[in-house]
Amino acid sequence: MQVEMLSVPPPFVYYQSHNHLSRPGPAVATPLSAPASEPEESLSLEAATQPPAASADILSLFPIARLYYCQDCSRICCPVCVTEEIAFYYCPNCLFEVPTASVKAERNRCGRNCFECPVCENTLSVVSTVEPPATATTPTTPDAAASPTTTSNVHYLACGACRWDSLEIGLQFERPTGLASQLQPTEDARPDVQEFEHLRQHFEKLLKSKDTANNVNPMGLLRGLSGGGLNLPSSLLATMPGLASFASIGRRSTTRESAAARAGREVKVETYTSSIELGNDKGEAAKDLIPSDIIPGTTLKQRLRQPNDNPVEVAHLRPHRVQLRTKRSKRCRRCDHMVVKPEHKAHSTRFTIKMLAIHAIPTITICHPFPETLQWDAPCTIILRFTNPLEVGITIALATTNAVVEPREDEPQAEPGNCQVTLLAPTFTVDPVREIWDYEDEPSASPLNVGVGVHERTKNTTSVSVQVTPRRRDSDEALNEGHTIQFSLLVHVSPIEEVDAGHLTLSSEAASAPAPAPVAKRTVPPVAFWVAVGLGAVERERAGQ
Amino acid sequence: MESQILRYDKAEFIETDTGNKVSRKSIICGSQNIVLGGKTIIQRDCMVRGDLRRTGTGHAVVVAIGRYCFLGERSVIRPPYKTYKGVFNYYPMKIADHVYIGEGAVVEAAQVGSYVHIGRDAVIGRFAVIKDCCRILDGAVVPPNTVVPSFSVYGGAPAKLVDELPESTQELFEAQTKDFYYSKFLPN
Repeated sequence: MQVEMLSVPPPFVYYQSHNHLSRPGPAVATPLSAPASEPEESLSLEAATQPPAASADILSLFPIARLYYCQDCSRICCPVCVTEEIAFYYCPNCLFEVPTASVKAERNRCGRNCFECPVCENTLSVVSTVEPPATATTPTTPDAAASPTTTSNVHYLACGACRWDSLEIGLQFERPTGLASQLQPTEDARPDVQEFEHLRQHFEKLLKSKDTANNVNPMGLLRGLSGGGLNLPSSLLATMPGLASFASIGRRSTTRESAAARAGREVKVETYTSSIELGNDKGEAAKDLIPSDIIPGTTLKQRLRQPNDNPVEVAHLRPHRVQLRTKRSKRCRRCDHMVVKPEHKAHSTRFTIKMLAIHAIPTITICHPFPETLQWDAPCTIILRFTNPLEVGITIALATTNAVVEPREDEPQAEPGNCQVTLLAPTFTVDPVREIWDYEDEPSASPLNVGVGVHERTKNTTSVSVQVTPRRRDSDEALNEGHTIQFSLLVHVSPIEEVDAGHLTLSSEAASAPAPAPVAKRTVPPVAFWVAVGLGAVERERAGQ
Repeated sequence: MESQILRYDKAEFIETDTGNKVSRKSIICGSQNIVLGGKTIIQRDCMVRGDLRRTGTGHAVVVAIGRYCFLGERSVIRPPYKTYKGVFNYYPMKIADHVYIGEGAVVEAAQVGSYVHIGRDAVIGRFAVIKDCCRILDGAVVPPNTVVPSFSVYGGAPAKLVDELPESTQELFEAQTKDFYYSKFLPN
C-alpha cells in the first residue's frame, strides 16, 4: 500500500516518520539553533536533523493523514512502526459485532443472513415470494411483493447488481431469518471443512499437552491473540508484519524451558493422517479437476473462492457467507503505548484513544497560486501553508539539504537533488488555534505580510514563499525526463512558551493553580522532521525551443 | 495540494439565513420537503427531488441534508423507492453533515453518513447505506442495498472495497469542507 500512496500525483507533501532513526548518527552541523537538551528523550533532535537517506524514502514517506504521534516517546509513528491488534470483529453488511468465540466457530464469516453473490461478490438480499399452492402459474418473476402467508413462502437470495439469484442453483430457504444456520449442515459436510476440523483437533491436542507441561505460558499473555497458548516459532513470527514484536517473546519462552521440562513432556508429535485418502496416482486426479476440453464458464477468481470443488460451470457456484472485518487498535512499537483505540461499536467512528500526527505537528500543504509549468533553470515561487494544530504558538525553522552540509562518508552516492531551493522565510511563527473560532463566525482573513517571505497569515496558518529552480541533474537528457521535481525540507517546530511569571491574575483558571504554573495547554515538546515536497515533472521541451 | 478558489456569480446563488448557498439554476423539486442543515452549497444543474414522497397528507421531510455539504453540478439526489406488499412507495433519505457529492453523481441511497466523499459520476443504488467517514471513488457504481461500513473506500463497478481510510479522516474531511465553504467558494 505504500507504493500506492506514493503514486499520488504531484504536487504532494510527504512526511518522513522517525522510524529510520534507529541508530544515532554523527552530529551534523546545522544552521539551526541548539535544540533543547533533554537527555532522556529517546529521539534526540540532533539525530533528527540528519538529511534523509536518499534511497530509504519509499517505505518511510507518508502523507500526514496516515501518521500517528506517540506522546510518551514524542515521536512520529507511521503505519509501519505501529503494531496492530484486533479490537473486535464485525460483519460489514449487518454491522453486527461478533464476539471472538463465535468468530472461530463461524470461521471468520457472518453467522446471520449475510451472503455474497458468487458471480459479482456483492451482498445478496433475501427475497420472498409466494408460491401459489394449487395453480400452475409460473412464479419465475420474483416480485418482492410477498403477502405474509407463512405456509407457502419461498425465500431465496437475489443479487441487486448482476441479477443472479439462488433459485438458479435450486437453493431456497424455509424461513427468512437465520439463513446461515439453515445452511450449516451442508457446509459442515464439505470435505475441506471436515479436513480443517480434523487438522484443528489434531493440533489442539498437541497444544493442550504442551500447555500442561509449561506451567507458565508466556504466550498466553500475548495481547490480541485469542485462544489459549500460541506457540508459533519465532522465525515465523518475525516474517509476519505486525507480529515482529512477539518474536522475542517466543525466543524467551524456549530458552526458559530447561532440558528437564522438555524431557518431562511425554507427548510425541504423532504423524497426521488425513481423513481423505488420496491415491498415489501421481497427478492423475489433478487432470480431472479441469477437463482440458471444457472452457470454464467461471473465472479464476470465482473458482478460487470455492476451493473444494473448483466449479467449472456457473450453475455450480454457491453463495458464500460474508467475511468479517476487523477494527484494529494500534500501539507504538517502542513504548507499547496505545496510539489508536476504536470504540467497541461497529457503527461508531469514535475512538477512545486517538493520537494523530495532525494534532501534534503542523500540516503543510501547497496552496495556490501554483506555477503553471515548471521549466529547467527557471525559478518559480510556490507557497507552502503551515497549519498549527496546537493551542500555543509555534516557531518553525526550515532548512533544506543544500544548507545542511556535506554528504556523509558512508553515503558516497548521495544524490544531489534535482532542484535548487531558496527559502525566503527560514524562520517564522504560526498562531495557535483558538476555541472561540468554533462558536462564532470566521473573521475575514486579513493578509498581514509580517516578515520577509511570509505570504499570508490567517487564523492559525502561515503561508510562506519558497523559490524553486529545477536544475538538470544529469547531462543525459533522457534521465531528466519524467522525474518529479522534489526537494527535502527539514522542519523544526518549537512551541513558544508563554511567560506568565510575575503576573498574578485573578482569573478563574489561575486561581486553582499556583501562580507561576501556566494553564495547561495542548502542546508538544520541540520536534524536527523531514518533509519531501514534490512539485511535478518538468514540461517536455517542445522541439525548436 | 489545496483546491482552487471557485468563484461564483453572486446573482446566481440564493443565500439563506442559515448560510445555505443554493444556485438559482439548480433544479429543486418539492422544496417544502427538503431540509438543508446550514452552510450547504448546491451547485447549478443539481437536481434534488423532494417531490417524490410517500403518499399521504401532512408535512413530510423527504430529503434531509446536513451542514457543510456540497452538491456538485449535474448531481441527482432522489429518494429510493420500493414495492412492498403490492404498494409502491418512496422512502425518505437522509444525508448527514460534511458530505461532498461530486459532479454528475446519482445518489439514491437511504442514508449517507457524515464526512463522506462521493466522487464524480458515481452511482449509489437504492437503499444503500453509507456510514460515516467513507469515500466512494469516481465512477463507482454501488449496487442497491449495499452497506458501506465506516472508513472504507469503495470503487469500481460494481463497487467493492478497495482501500481503508486512516483514523484522521473525520478531521481531514471536516477541515476540507469548512475550508472550502469559507475560503474557497468566493463571490466574483
